[in-house]
Amino acid sequence: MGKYRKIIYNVIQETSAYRLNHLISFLCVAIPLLAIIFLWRTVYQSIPSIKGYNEAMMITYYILSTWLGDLTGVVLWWEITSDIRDGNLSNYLLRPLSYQLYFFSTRLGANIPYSLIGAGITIIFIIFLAPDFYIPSNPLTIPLFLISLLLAMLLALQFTYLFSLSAFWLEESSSVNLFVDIFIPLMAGNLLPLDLFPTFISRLFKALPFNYLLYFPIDIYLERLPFSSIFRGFLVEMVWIAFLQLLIAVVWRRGIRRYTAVGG
Amino acid sequence: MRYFRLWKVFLTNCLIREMGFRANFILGILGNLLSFSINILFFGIIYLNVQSIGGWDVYRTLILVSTCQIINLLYSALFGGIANLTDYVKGGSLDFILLKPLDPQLLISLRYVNLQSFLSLAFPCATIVYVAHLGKIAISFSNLLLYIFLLLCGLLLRYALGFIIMASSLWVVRIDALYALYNYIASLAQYPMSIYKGGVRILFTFVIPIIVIANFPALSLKVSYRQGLSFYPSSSPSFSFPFPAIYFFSVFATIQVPVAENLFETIANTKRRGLC
Repeated sequence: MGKYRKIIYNVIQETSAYRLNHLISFLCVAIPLLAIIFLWRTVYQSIPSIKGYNEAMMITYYILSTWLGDLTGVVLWWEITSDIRDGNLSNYLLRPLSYQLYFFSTRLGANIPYSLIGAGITIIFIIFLAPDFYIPSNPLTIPLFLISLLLAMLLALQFTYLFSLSAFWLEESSSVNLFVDIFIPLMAGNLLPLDLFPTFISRLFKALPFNYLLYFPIDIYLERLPFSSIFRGFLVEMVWIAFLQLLIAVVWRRGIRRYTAVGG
Repeated sequence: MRYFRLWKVFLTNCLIREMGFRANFILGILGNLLSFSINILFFGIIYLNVQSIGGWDVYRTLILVSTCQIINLLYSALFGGIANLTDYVKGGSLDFILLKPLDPQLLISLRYVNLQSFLSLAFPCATIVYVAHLGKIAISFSNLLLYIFLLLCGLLLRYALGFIIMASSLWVVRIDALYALYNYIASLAQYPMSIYKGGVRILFTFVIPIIVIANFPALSLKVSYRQGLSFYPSSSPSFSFPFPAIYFFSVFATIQVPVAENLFETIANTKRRGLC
């Protein structure tokens, strides 16, 4: 475990060197949030609550989803795809470490400074634009939210890893990229809280594992779920995590068999 | 005329390049269509729950979203190449551009034509026609002309702002992040301007005039001949849209372009002197 801790520590040091870069890239995410907050404030002038979300809850939903977006977001990780295509992967295969855990450590290391800077900007946002930011009343909510957040991060890392492994088979990842960039955020609840969709679609999205990335943790934070559903959610999420780990093992084994170390 | 012939050469060249990667080309168009649909979906679902957002009904808003998409697509289709300016500065190939017997700003701005964006224009245009049909919005010919005029003003403004940012890369070299930020700021344009309040509204109307680029053309499409220039029925709670605004907007757009041009020329001239 010590070697992975060292990797996390190294990446944190490396990414902390580019603080301004992080600041600007978080501003990039925060600027659209500005418009979203203004938009929802205007919407709530004519209606007190939409599908159980009042104004403060809706604003909180988007602020949290922006802050968590990167932490629990699924991407096609270019380092994995280029390692596979350029044959660089061989370097890692020869080392006494698991490529998956190596990837998890580098992502965690990169995410920690980014989300801390993000938290700073988020707090400024809350002070100036959302003084009505929702604070949970039950003291148990925060620990439950943190647990769901950890599970969501793990799930996001698994999905990112799994989709990136598609490079074993695909020369060109644009189509996977399209799916990852557009449909997963939609199904995770980045665009809108899933309850706002028509009933059928909302049920479908909640049955898929992607809602645990964002919608589920935020719903816990907003205290919209009874304890029984929270625990059921945790259980289902852990089953998904176990299933994905199994799938990753299968995909990795098959992929490695195809891997030809071109250029490596 | 000479410039137009030149642009046709750029176009053919880019067409040949793009056709080398056909699957990618189609996926690019699909991506544009999907992200546009997501925007439409977003507003569509909000309007399932409310009648109006700050005085804008669903038809007006969808026209706004489509108009914004048209401006963004035209911008990336025609002027997408300005994003490469930092690479020219970093790599030193700017010197070759400055030495060519051609206006360097023209070459930098128009060299790369993005055909995916051009073809993707079909989606927002079709959406506007369909929405105007659904919302029974009468569009007279003169109204359409006004709309197109304001749309072009918006496009120019979007270009000028982008070029001002990119031109400053001659001083500070690394401007990529700021340019990315600008493209995110441009996403503010797709929301009805009546949602913005206070300082934010002033900032993005007068200092970085981004919220007007799509809102003004979208508002103008509501004008039917008999109503004159009162864009909303008086009972509507929203703001009125006075004629001077159009005037201000078009003047502002036309002023911005020479500002960007001058800035670039000044810097380029110092560079050129250094070369000789």
